[in-house]
Amino acid sequence: MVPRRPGRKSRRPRPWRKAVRRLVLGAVRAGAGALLGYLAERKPVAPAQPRADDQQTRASIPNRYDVIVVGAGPAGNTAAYLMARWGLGVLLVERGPVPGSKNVGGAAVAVQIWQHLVPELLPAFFEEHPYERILTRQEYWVMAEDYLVNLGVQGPGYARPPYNRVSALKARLDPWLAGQAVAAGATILTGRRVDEVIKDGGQAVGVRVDRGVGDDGRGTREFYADVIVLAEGVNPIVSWKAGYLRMPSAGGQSLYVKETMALPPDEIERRFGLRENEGAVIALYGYPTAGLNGTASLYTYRESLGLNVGASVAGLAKAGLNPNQLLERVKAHPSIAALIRGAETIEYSAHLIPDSGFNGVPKLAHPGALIIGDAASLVNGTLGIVPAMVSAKAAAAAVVQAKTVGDFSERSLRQYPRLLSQTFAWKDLRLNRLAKGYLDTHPHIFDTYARVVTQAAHEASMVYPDTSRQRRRRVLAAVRRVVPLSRLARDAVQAAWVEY
Amino acid sequence: MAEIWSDPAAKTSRDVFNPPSESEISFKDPSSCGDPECGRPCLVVCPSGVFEWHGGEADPDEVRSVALARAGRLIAVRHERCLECGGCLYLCPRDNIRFNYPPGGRGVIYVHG
Repeated sequence: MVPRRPGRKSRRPRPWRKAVRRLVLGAVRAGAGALLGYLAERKPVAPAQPRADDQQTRASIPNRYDVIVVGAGPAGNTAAYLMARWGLGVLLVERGPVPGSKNVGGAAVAVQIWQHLVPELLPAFFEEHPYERILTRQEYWVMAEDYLVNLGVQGPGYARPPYNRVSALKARLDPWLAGQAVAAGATILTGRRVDEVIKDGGQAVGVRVDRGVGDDGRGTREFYADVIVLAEGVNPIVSWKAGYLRMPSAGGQSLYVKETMALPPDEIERRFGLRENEGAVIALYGYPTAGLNGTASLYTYRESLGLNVGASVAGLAKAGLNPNQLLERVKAHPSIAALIRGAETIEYSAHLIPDSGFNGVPKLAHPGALIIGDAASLVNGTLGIVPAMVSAKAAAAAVVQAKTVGDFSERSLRQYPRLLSQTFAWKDLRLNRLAKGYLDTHPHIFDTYARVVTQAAHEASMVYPDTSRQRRRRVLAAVRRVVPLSRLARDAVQAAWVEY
Repeated sequence: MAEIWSDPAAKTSRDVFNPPSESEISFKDPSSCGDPECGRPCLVVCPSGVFEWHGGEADPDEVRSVALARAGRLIAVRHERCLECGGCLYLCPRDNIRFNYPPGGRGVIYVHG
């Protein structure tokens, strides 16, 4: 255990108590949300009724639905919510005891995107507050060992409608969004891992789940639907076993570790220069990834901070580095240490982020099945869960259409990738498709240019008894010590080509 | 304090787990781990130190023993501290690691995420 500093208020960490409190609160919130939703909007169409030929089940839920969604993360919840709202009978299956208990993120919610996709959820979102802080300070730090260059935007304008981004914790956001799906009429089954897609010939017709904790083995394990929406997340084991995709390579995933650290709200506000309920997010480049291509970031939550760092799995293996070593190194950097001083670690988490972008997207539509979100590599470093939610909406629309015409073939479900290809998120992913290859062939480019930026800026900032022309020459010399100008020009041209 | 925090296994003591009774993580062919040529990145990269070296003081890059590996006495799998990132699925140069998520309701329970 960490030795206590003298004078510090005695407070032994009791993770179980806190966890139970949060689980109960989450369930209460979800239940309250469901009740409010039910009262506010009675559904004209009831979920699919169990057929007479269904087996008698010990589970109290039916085993036949219009659609089954695998995974109650951002993608799965959005899809389940929309399909339930549009009148389909939805079963949402989640392996964690509560949605979000298996998820990790930065995370930031982009309000304008929600306005675009699920505007009717925003009033409840702001009233019920499943988010942390309204981000009014957004910065980018390019870090060297003992100084950094920073650039960012901040101001109270971000704390007024129409807002931009808010920080969120997945373990609070996911259950809230799942609660919206339930309020819209979806049935949720938690604590059950989907083991496989049930197929009839080549057609997906259902899922088989495992027993679950406390099950005496007699509960039903097969659930059937016209369409299975696979929203498993970054390790799509069920989709892979069903033959829908190949597992990515080590170069195709980035491994992130995150530490959540408790700090009183007013101390967070004091250190980051924030007003009450306001938040900051700082993207960290250069020093944090120790020469590897990767990123790090620091988030403020209501009563804690989140610091994460990651790099490609292949890069870490080749360098012989544990991601936790990178994390400890970042924490010790003087500029970060000052911000996290005294903050007690309350959670340590790890998660992969699909790295291949557009090139890693598998075949999205299959007979009776669709793949959305991280499972389909539909994720973006800057946009976060936005592509997941965009894909969820496109898939939901395609499923509703398939149900309307009664055609659940692959051809019919291809409406999903068709709709997806018209979205901004898809176009953005496609526009950035060359970036991944560029980073692969330039494995230290982040580090090289972080050093160019920091050393040039540092040189420019130093005041010596020389002329401004001599100073410009010093700056240029500092740049050339890192990278020859010819190579810099070549890299710039290549990067511009890749970007545009 | 620095030594405690540089050990990822110590950090996971802050997390909530409902560990499964059996491990969903295993080596497909344990004897293959007897050859150090793969570089044994599993011992290094796993964020929570699930793969633990059992060769004592001996250098993992040097020890070559198919018998010990087959008996599971070279690399132990501490599945109860798995954070379920899935990194090990991609780590092994020989694709020798079998990984699945734990049964429903079990494993790590993220309270913050």
